[in-house]
Amino acid sequence: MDIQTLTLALGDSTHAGRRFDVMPITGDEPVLQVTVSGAEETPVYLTVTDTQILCLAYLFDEQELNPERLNELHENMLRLSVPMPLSSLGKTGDHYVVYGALSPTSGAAEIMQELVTLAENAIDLLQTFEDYLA
Amino acid sequence: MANKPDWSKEEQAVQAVQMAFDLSNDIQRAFRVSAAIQNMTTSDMVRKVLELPYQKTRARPRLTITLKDEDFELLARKYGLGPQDRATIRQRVSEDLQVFARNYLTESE
Repeated sequence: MDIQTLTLALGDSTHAGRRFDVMPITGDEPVLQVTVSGAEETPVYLTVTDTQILCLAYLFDEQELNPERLNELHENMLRLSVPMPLSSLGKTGDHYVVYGALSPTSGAAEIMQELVTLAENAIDLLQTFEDYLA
Repeated sequence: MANKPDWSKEEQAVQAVQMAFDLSNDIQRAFRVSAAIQNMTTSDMVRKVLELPYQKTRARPRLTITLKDEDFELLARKYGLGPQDRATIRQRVSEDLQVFARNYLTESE
């Protein structure tokens, strides 16, 4: 599934009653910003490589966190990452993220399932980790 | 970490997503700020840039705040007043907002 096919597929589809607003962001590597209806505050960024389809939502920056509780937060993130459906927690630069990766041969239905789950997980995680914000 | 596998392509993809996130944040900020300066809603500003029909100005720009019971309690404590003294609290809120606006406009000049 390439980015263009995916852009068209998402724009015309609904999954579990959710719609997808797709905004292509041009750059060296094409990236889609996908807003899932009902989870507008946590847009999902998606990019396709030879080996995976990477979907990623941003949670918070390191500067936003209470530094005294950072270790405790990391411990909880690692523990929560295992049972969380279809998503894992990670960090890129100063940003804490929740992400999911799919095979590049995945169909539109699997990708939409991932996008909906990821956006919902991101909202749940923001509430769960609210106490760690400075 | 010894013998780190070559995931440079994947790292590039992560970097691309990071740049896309930063760019979309910058775009959003630009639209929010330009809309505020031109006294428009953000969605009308987007429509203006795309040369789609939009409302020229906000119908009635207003500055309102709905204060809940707990807000009155917090403000009463801040101003050293009783929470029941709502008229005075509202007066003090209005004064604070004016001070903010005056300082903000002076700083922007």
